[in-house]
Amino acid sequence: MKVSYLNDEFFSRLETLALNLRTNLAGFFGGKHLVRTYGQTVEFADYREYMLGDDIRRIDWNLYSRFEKYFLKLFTDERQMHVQIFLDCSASMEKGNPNKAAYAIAVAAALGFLAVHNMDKVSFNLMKGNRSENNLGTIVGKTSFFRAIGELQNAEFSDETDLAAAITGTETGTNDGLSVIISDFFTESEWQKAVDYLTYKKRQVLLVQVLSPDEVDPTYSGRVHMIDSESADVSDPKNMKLRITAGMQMAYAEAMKDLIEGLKSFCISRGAQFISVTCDRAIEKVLFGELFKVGIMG
Amino acid sequence: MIGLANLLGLLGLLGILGLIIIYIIKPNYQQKFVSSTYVWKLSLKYRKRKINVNKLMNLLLIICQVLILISCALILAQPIIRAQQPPDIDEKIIIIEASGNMLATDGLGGEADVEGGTRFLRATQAAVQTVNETFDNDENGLITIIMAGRTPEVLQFESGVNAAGQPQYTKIQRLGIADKDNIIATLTGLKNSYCTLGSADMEQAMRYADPVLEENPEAKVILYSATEYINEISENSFVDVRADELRLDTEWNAAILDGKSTINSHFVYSFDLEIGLYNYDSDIEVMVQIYGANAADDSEASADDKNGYDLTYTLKTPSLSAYNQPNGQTVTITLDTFSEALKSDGILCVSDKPFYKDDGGEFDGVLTYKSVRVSLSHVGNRNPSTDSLYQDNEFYFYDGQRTQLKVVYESDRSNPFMRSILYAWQSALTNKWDVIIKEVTKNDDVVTEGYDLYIFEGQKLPRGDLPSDGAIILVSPEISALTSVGINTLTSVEIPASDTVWCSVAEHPLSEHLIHAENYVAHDFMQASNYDKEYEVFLNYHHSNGGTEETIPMIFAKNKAEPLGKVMYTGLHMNYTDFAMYTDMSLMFLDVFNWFFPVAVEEHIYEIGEQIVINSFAREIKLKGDDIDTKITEFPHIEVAERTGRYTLTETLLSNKEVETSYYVKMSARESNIWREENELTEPNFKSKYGDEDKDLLVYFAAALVALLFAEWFLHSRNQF
Repeated sequence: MKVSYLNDEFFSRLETLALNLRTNLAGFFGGKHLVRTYGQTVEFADYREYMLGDDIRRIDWNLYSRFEKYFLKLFTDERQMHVQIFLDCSASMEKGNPNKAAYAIAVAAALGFLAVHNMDKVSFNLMKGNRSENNLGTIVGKTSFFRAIGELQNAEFSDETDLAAAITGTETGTNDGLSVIISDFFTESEWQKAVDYLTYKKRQVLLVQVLSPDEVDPTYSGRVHMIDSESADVSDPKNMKLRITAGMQMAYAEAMKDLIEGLKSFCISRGAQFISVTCDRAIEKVLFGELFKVGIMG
Repeated sequence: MIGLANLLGLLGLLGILGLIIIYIIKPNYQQKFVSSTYVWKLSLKYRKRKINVNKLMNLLLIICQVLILISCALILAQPIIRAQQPPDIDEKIIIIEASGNMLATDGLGGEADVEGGTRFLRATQAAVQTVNETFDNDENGLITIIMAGRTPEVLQFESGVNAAGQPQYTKIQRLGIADKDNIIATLTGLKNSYCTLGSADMEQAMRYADPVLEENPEAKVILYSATEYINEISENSFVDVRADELRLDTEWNAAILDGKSTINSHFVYSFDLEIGLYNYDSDIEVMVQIYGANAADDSEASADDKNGYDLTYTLKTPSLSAYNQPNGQTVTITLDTFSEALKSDGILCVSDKPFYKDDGGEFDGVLTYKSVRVSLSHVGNRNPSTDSLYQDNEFYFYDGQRTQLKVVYESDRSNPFMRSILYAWQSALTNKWDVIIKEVTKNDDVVTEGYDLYIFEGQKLPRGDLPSDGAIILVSPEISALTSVGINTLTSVEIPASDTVWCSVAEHPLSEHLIHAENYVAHDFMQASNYDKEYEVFLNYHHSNGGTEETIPMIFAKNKAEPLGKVMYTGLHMNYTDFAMYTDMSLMFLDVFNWFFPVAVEEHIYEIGEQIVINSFAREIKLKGDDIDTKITEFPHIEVAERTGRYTLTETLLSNKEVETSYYVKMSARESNIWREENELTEPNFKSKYGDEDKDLLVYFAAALVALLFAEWFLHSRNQF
């Protein structure tokens, strides 16, 4: 039986959190996405000197009285952002622990909810193999969102995913929103290229690493023949026989730490954000706690 | 030894061991499905450096456990290291004594050189039988044959020739059945001539057995010897002495063991004879034949007296009981040639001339003789020639005659020191030389021929060349040169009394007794300079006036067996030196005499095996004997007495007078004792390479088990971290 966090209670909590924090929300999900181009919003941006042909209604007379020169007020423009959520649907996201897949879906859904709540567009790209599938299209508004969520829960997790190929092969807008990559990042594929691609597209990038408790702190030991969920068969080189001792566990922890640190440092270097969550923690706490930390919410 | 229970226990443990090995070889892995092994693979890098150690520790642990099991199994098996056992073969070491007593015949007058004719031949026959028995009993048997003669050796046979055509020999040492024919042929080919007439070196013979016994301590040592060894043969003796196989009850021996001639209180010769009798009871009649008794010297000989008298005496020993007595019985009889003693002793003398005195009266005694033959004439009612050993039935004396040496002392000064030296020669050399001294004084004519040794002192010198028919001693000759002897310049020297004077010696046979050289003082002497290089200086004179020091050769000599080749020079004036006050001078001159005129041989009786040192004052000396006729030109010459018999050395003086010296080589007295019994036999002395005891390893394995258990515990505890 599939585990799912996406229930009414879940969204109700999200709604409450979003409403309570609306006035105080900053960051991407915290308000209007004001861009640096000048537009017709009411938000003052800057002054410039009057030039022949400008709209005289925009002349700031206070400045004229002061400087006896004509200056125009400039206001920021406002656009509708597009939140692209890339969900890794490889076998490692589920086979190890069903909670992990449901958790990842829940994280995707939560982020999508926040997007539509913010009047932004959202799309769910399910990464399978070396491509992304977006059968739900671009979602605007809560009605279509909830309809899409039902489909999202049925996502299948199998095989391997080439993050770089899947993401770079997807059409993304330029400078129009946030791209979220939800994965465990247990992959040989060069996901760094995906991040680079997205940053090249002037999108904000958020990497969400979803891990199961077993993956963070494996409790098994002794002689273990580990069958990788993404392996083709028992003889697949991904599988490995290992005698897990205390020392081995320490080495694992060190490797995991280095993996996460590696992800983090890469993201910092690219101006992306990175959070790592385990699926045994409450999503709300993780989302709002971690998202606050990285500034997606401020 | 492993008991049944222990064996089952061992098998059980081995079975467990096998299971464990199988378990270890095929370890169980629990299959687990994980989301991804990605991080585990990453973690290998962190663990890589420790994984090798882990593997090693695992391996060590496995090894430890295996060793523990093995230790347990071995402890149950009660392991021991068996002492290495010598080969189980029939091996014999045959030692055949090849000494004089082994030449003993049957004592019935039988031939020696027939089969079994002597003990030696019987020993070789017995050895052949032993060889056959050995190989018949065991085809893998081994034989070693050692001949114990004067110089023991391992018997060998010619086995072929090498590339150079020289014969090659194989020693009969641990030879097997393949060489049986060669061994037997070699043994049967041994003749009596192989034996020495001396004694066997049994100790050395046993040394040849040692290496064989080291290889096989179980080898039996069989000694074919007629000597009975008693008392000291222990129960563990290695040697089986087969004397009974060699001795015959009919063997007996009468022997002249030794003899000694002395000049008794009546100043005539008396002869002590040691007679031995073995395995027979009897008295023994001994005949003493004296040849050339009291022969006149050449210068005073008359036609009748020239060769002296041949005298025959017969002596009888008391009755001796030696039948079956160990070591027989010996007695010493004496022939005192003093006529009165002969009459009172009842010794029969059969001679072609009656006793006489110089004045026509009775013969006083033997003052000199050319030779004496002692022989056994009767042994009870048996002919001595039928005894087992004939080689000891005769004996010879040759020391009854001294060679006459004529010495002339010519001096223009009355010198009591030189005169005393001459008379000292006479008495000191009386056993070797008959020194005839003539003194030529100031008013006498210088004598230049007819003497063996000339002593010229002062101005008493011949006008022309010095005499060439004898040796010359020059004592402070007052002349400017003596070119005929290679002294080209002579100068009279007077050293100031204020000078410090002393002498020093150079190493030389003639300086041996000049022990006070540094104290000799002389201020007047004849200095010889410019003399032949042949001269060897052995006394140097030094004088010093506080500044310079001068060294002057004072005494030198040369010794060549040629005319004018034996010359000694001393520049010291006997009246002006204290050298004459020291005994050094007398001894030096005695050394000079012996140097110029060494005796051919020191003794006249030698035993088989003894070394005979032959010297000569001539260029060569002829040696003649029953089995030898040779010339010797290098001196001293050492001859080893190998065969009994009479030997004569002939040398020629510078005066062309021939001097003959004879000596007799006798059989070893020890070997004449054919019924010998000895207390101690030299046994082999070897260190076997085989151990005596089995070595118990239980303690060692128990200790190893404890150590391994500790090591396993240690590895386990390390492996947890």
